[in-house]
Amino acid sequence: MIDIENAYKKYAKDIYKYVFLNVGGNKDIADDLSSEVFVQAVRSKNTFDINKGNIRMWLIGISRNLLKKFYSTNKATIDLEKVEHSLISGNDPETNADLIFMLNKLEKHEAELIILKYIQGFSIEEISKIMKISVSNTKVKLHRCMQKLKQL
Amino acid sequence: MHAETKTTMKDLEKALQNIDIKPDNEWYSSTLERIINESSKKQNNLFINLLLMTKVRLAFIAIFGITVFAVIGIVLGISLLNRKSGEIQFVALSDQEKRELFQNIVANNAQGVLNSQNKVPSTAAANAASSYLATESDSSIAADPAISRIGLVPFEVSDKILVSEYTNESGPVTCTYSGYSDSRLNDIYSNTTSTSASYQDAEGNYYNKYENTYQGTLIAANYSKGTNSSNESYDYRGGQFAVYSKYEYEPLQLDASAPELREMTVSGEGVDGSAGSPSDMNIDDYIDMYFGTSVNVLGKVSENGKDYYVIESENYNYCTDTWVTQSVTATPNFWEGEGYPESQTTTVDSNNRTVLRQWIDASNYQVHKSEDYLQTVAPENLISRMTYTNFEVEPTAENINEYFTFDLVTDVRDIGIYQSNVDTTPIEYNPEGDANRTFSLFAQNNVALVSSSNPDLKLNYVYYTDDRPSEVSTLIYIPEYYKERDFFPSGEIGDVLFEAENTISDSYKIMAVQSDATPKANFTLSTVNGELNAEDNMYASFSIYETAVDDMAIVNSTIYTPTVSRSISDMTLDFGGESVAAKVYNYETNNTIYYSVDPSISVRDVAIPEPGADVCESEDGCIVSGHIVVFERNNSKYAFTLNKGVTYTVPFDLELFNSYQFSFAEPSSAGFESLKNDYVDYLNTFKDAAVTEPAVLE
Repeated sequence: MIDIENAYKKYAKDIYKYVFLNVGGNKDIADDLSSEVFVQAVRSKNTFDINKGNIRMWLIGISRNLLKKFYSTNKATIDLEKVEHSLISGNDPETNADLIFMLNKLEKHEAELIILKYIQGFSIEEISKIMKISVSNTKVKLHRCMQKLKQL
Repeated sequence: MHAETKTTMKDLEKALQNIDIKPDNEWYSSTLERIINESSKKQNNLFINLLLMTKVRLAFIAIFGITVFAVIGIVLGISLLNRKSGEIQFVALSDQEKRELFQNIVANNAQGVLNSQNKVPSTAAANAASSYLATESDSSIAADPAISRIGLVPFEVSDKILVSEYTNESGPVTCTYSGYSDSRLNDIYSNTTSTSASYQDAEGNYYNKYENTYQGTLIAANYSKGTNSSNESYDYRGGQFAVYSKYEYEPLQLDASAPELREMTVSGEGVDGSAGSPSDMNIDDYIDMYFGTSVNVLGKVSENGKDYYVIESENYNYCTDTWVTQSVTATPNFWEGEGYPESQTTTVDSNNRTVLRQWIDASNYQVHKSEDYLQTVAPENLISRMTYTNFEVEPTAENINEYFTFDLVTDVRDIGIYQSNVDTTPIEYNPEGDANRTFSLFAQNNVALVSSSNPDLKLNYVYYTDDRPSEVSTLIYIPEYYKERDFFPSGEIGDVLFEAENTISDSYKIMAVQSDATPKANFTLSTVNGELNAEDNMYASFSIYETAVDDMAIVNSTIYTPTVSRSISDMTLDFGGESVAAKVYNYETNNTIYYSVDPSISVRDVAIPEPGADVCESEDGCIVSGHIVVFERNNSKYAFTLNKGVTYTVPFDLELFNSYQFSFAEPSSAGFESLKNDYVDYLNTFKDAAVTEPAVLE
């Protein structure tokens, strides 16, 4: 059985980043949801199956479910102007904030593809498993999403 | 990343990869607290439940528990007494202990031994591909020591020359090696004998040697020396010549005061343009690089009186996977509803992996044995087994010379010095200069732009290519000399290796997006006026091709998804009084996203769609309309679309087209200059807003 505390130590930042970007950079929402991911992980750790993906993918799966639930009950409540800059780091935080703003302009599933691939570093194969779409479809959609992002 | 900044896709990818979010300390502590509380809640509940039980139940459980424990104890005792050699005994290691174990393995094994754990055949193409795959799947490192790998690691390594000799024997599973079905290749790669030696001196210089023989024929040899600013290597594949190359990069900055955890800073990239050189790597990065992120310590095993750690990791299925085996040389005919070949989706199978099990000598952390299995560990799934003989040699000048000097009797071809081609110098944002350059390319090639009399519709992106490298060549670095038959041994073995190199090279090209239609120029007019609102803005996106480019190639490279309905109509369009005969391609595609949710990731209180449910995330539904208009003018082929927002495509609307009152802006005309001036003004709004400007055109 997996040790959620260890998983937390290893993937806390990854999960926070994923949730943060998927809620448009809203710190309050990201704080609550990403914390809830690990609580849910404790509750459902018996369901983890290494044959279906690694721990990080499993945690992302929980995050996705929570995000879906959140969006199903909080339609259009994300304030795109409320990107929390203080948490954005990297070599060039200003450009990063700009990019996050751009990602917010995409459809949610489009932004998610880009986040999973380029920001979370998942492989195409892993993304296809996470999003339950074929590898070729993932490649095509990712390419189109990047084209759209580039045009913004 | 505004379109008008002329960002390349690679720049955009890099910028995205640079995004980092750090939760604050309060979140870390409160989340950990919640995890601990939630974990203890379960235990508490058990305890409370126990207290609430009746005495009878409690007594029953107590007796039952004692019986169970007694049985377990007896069984355990018997099993310990009868413990067979070779049985893996679980050992509990903390994260820190595991980390130290992996660190010790890296520090005490020759580089070639660590690389040999990646079983992808050591071919140029495979190396290029595996380095791509490494970035794709976060798995292990590329196999070829000839490709620059900095030997410096952020912790102490052995002060001896580490030498290892190992043999590879094949198991019941026959690999097809990514599309090369000739069984002789499997025979060669599965039955080799190798020698590897490596040494890192006190200054951080790194020496590496690797030789691989099959039936007495040397089929691969690499000798390399890395310093803090270069990597020299000899590459030999048993043919009539070897190749010498040198790769130079920005000097590493080492903090010698803390050798046990030296911070490294490296700039520049590998010769293949991939992330070949580590950048700001720490110990964990090295562990991931050599063992993959899935590595786990299974336990300890005793064999012939010696103890071994057994570690296991999952890897990309290099052996029978077929998704890289197809060489797609043309875009599928999306227009006719065709998609990518179905076989490319075979990797969706969750069991499509190999499992590497390694035995590490507990006394010196050297690899003793490794076995590679297809999908799961079982005798019938064994792909290959490697057994190692390791020894250490004093690093005298004589020994260093003996082990690491390339002295094979063969011609050596010097292919020169590679230098890092990545310019990390910040590029000054120069809207006027950029615009002048781009517009002059339109003028030189006599290509007209399009302007609109509608004051809301302004040029906000323009690009002309004159030197765009092919996507394949930037993705895969395959040295030209691998295409020479003489680089490989003479005779049948050489024939197989030569053919395999080139076959595999071709097969990996699928990784690059192939297109039969690459525009020579693009420009976009839009109603964007500083406010990027994807819902309301109108976009007129033009691409310009050579007239020889087929309409269908343009259409297919634009829509990228199989159509479900389509129509073509001829139309005369008015561009400022000039009539143009155009073909309008209208189509519909299905943008369904399938959320067949895995029951294993079910979470309480969360609404989950039924497995296999079709979920249309677009409010407009799954079927999406689109159009492309194509016409020829002055030795160029123009293709354009008119879209609302960037996420919605619509059928062609002639009324909308006419409302924009488009006209051609010929080079050197007043309209052309006016477009340029407006464009510079537009770019300057970003300069004033201090938007960081990535450079490079695409």
